[in-house]
Amino acid sequence: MSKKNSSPILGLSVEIIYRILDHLEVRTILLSLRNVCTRLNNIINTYHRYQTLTHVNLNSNKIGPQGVQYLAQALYINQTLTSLDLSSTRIGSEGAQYLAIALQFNQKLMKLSLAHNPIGQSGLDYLANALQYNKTLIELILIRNEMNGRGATQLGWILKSNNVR
Amino acid sequence: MAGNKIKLQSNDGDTFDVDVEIAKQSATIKTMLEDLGMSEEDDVIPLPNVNSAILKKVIQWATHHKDDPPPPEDDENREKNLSDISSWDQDFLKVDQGTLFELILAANYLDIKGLLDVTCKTVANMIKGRTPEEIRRQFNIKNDFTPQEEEQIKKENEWCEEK
Repeated sequence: MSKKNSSPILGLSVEIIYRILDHLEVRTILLSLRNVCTRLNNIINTYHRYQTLTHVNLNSNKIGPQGVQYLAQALYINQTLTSLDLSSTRIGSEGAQYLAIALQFNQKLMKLSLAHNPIGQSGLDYLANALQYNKTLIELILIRNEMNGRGATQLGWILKSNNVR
Repeated sequence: MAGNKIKLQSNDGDTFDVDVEIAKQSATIKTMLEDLGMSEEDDVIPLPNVNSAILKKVIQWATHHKDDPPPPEDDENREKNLSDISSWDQDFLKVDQGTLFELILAANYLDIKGLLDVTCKTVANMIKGRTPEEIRRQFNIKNDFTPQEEEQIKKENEWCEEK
């Protein structure tokens, strides 16, 4: 019983919580409401805009490593999203780490743009590692990511061993 | 027709005289009056799900909004950006969280679309731009993920710490 939630928001019916979600951007649902508690997660899983969500464009939002961590946790089990644009979102190499973990498990995402994010060599290492396990991603956009010559070579290696173009 | 009143009774037994036209913003009451043929004169409409304090607030809201155009039926437009809340409504909804959620429940039970929209919007505004931890604090929600789920999250994080 000690685990029971007594918050009034959780006493609302699913229909009413859907109505609240109607007033939120998908971005907020992904970044803020995912992983608050199991009930909210269960409700979001059945929410029509979340279920039919296939493309998310967060281009130029200041998400940062922390924000992308929440996003990655959602992505980890997400079964709908096929395209995610995180260009210019300041995720850094730490953010690339979180995404890399999610990519190992995600089986839906086909296109990911990380352009204009200084993820550096270490960020690329995480992604390269994850892509060995990912079988669905077919397009990974990495331009202006502050990788060095070794990074470029490594990317060439991923391209060969994976179906990412 | 103007000036017709009906009596609404809260679950703590208080009755309120309300103009029929104001009360009819509640689709629930409108149905009771029109479809069930309740007479407006003598009968008291009991509202067993609403207490006096909340009913008073609801009547205050409905009185202020009595001349509003009827809200659009089209539910497809529900998710359009409607974050604008009139300053009167903002002041009206400066209440504690318990009252806010009771108003949502009352608006839902009484089927007053405008009030339900504005209260849900208010809650949505309390969520925007916050982290999951901040939302837990804001709404007094316990982190109830099972140890296994917590473990899983921890394991994911360990994986990246090793690298």
